[in-house]
Amino acid sequence: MSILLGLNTAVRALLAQQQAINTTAHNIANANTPGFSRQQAMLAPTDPFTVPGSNRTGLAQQIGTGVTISEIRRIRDQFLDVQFRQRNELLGYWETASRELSQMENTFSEPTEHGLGYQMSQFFNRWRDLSNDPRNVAVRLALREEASNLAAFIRDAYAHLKEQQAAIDERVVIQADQINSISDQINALNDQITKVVAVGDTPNDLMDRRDLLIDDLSKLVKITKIEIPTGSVSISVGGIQLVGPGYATHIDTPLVNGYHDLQWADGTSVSILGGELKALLDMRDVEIPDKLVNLEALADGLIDTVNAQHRTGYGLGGAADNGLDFFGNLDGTAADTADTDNAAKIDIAALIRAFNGENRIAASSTLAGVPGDSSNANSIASLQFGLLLGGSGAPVTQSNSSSDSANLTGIYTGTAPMSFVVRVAAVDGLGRITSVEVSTDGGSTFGAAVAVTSNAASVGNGLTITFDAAGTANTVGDTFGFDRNSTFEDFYRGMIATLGVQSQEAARETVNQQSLVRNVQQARDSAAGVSLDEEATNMVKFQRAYEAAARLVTTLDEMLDTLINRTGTVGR
Amino acid sequence: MPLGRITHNMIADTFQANLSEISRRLQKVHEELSSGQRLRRPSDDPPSVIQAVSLRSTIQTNDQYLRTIDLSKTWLESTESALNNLTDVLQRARELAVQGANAALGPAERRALANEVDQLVGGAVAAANTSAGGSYVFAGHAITTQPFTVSGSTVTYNGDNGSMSREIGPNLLISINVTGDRSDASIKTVIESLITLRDDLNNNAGSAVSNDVGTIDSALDAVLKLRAETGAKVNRFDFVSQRLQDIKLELTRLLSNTQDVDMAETITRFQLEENVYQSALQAGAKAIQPSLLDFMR
Repeated sequence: MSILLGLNTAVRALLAQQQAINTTAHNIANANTPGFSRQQAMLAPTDPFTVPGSNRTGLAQQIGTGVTISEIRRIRDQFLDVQFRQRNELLGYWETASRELSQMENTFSEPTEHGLGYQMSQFFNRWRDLSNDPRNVAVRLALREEASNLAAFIRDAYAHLKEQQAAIDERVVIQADQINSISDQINALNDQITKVVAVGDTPNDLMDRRDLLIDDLSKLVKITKIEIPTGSVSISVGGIQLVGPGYATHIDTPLVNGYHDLQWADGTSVSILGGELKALLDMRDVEIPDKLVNLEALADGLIDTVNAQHRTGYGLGGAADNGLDFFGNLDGTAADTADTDNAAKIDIAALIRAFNGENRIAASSTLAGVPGDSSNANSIASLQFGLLLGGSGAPVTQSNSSSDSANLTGIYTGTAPMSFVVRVAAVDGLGRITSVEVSTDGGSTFGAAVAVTSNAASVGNGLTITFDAAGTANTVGDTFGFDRNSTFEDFYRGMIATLGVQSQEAARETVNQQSLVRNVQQARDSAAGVSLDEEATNMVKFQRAYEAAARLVTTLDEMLDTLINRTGTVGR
Repeated sequence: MPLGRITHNMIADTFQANLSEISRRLQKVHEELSSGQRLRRPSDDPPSVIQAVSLRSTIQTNDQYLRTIDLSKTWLESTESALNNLTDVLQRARELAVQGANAALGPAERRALANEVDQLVGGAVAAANTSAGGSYVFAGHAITTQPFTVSGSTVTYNGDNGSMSREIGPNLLISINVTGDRSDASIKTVIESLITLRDDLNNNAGSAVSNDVGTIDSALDAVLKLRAETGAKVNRFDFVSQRLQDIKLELTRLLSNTQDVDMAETITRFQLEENVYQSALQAGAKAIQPSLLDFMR
């Protein structure tokens, strides 16, 4: 045992306290760094010396040799990370859904006097004006103007939704790129971390960076994370590994049917189950198409019912102004309700749009009635309370079977949840369809059979399937179609109500998830965040210990001074 | 709120999150106050928005019906005043016919009477050709063609029997016009009866003139029938108009209840949110600042 052992201990103390102060400095420096977890220098006594005891013969005695830093520990609660990422994924979903849905709401400008509902009422009211004064050119011009506005509103709404869909599609690509970039970065970090762990160190800051990347990723898409003992993490999206030890793959975005699909390198689809990306896909592939189909149904309904009534009437030009369409296509061609993009191109018919075309508007229902008769204008005005007829979405097709078992399949798409797949459930001896089965989930499950009575089957949601069988028999091979039993206004209100409820729910969920994410984030901060008060206290603590160790060196030095310079001076 | 350590970032984050939440609420109340409207978009309150859209459409259509009623009433009033004129003309013609039937009258005196009746014929034709807003009221659908032309002793009706229907309620159509040559009450026959009287007076045919008194009486009956009919329609339009206005008042009140801001309530809420906002700012300013470092030398 020597005084020099004490010096060694003091030096160790100096170094250890210095190291601890460095850690404190690192914590303070990163107090505001996102994703940083506070670090703690874990102080541990060094291994003691065993020396033979001087007062206890035969027994060894252990002398402490000082202190060392056993590890710099990252303080973090992995369980909270899991919670945070689950919440973050839901937040990402609802935030995005809410943003997109509220943009869709803007398209229809309800409930204002610039909304589509208002314009539709105005349109029918202008027909009533025409009925009051059927030969007044000003009234005719006002009607033409209003009809033109209504058509333009429908076209604009359609174009807005299409633009939104295209913008979402671009975001899908950007987010796929982000996921790929994160995958690469995690792969690089995995590599570095594995190397550091292999030599027995803990790469705290690298792990923080990787955790932050995983946090970001969890908002984009639902992920599953597995920790691997070598220090790597493996992350899967939809059951397929995105990044793992020494492995990172990319999500490709090839164009499929005009939109970007998400595919793995081998061409299989990526199954996206949550997060912002899922919301974007839902909006792009379900919600916007649904609104587009609704607009289409509205445009089809206008074209179908107004044109049919208008054709029966006569304009001021008499016989020459009979049998004309009121609505047509923007390019001047005749409208066809079988088209699926009428909402994109509806306009008043070319002949009516032309110079003096307002005089061709058919207010009279008979040739002799021109110019005083306005009963056709009355009939068109009353369509406002009539049924919105006309099909939309994919046409229903059927295949005629050679045997007595009939097949009837088709998809009708309308207001949610108005997607139906229909098939024949039973036919009678003459091959007449006696009942049909209806599925609202794309054909995976079918409800109870609906009986066909009087050539019609009610499939719910105000829809009936009618079999056009000239009133004789509805045998396989007959054409059939869907009828919508709602008026223009009911239909439109239903569409706005659905959108409103969806948007409201998304907004409510966003607020909920925000608060839940904040709670978990608070819990995480509580465990891992840097407290400046705590660091200041530590700073003083380590500073004092350092000072004391320094004082120890001085003391030992004085002791040596006593021993070397002041002892054995007798003979001098 | 976790029970463990509280870090400075937690305090700052909580403060920020709460402040933005309060600001959001304040902004919403402010928007309601400054616009006066509670509903800005469908998601604000879907059922109320749908009700508002529905009410607005009903109000719009009601207004349209009221406008139709106003226009129709102008038409009916023109019809009524023309029929009034016809009545006056016929009454005067009846007096003249009674005078002319007097056996003591000579040809010259009858011719003098015939001259006055001729004036009356002109008046009757003018009344029968009355127009409202450029459209002949008794012409049926041929509103741009002068319905009655007289040449010599022949009256021609150029109109038709077309009825003009006006919608004054959902699927409620009312015909507003009187055509000139109805089988039950013909204005053409009325004019013809005057012409016959004139010609009989000119021809000094005393007994024929006394027969004409009866013809003019039945012409008067016909015109009175048309007046009664038109008057009944005016009353009906008045009644519907009154009812539509009552409904409009009620609907407007409902719409206002549905979409307009309750000012007293909203201002109270605004002040409450404002207080919360200011308290949050004050508390935040106190909670964020202090640190142990302030007290260390």
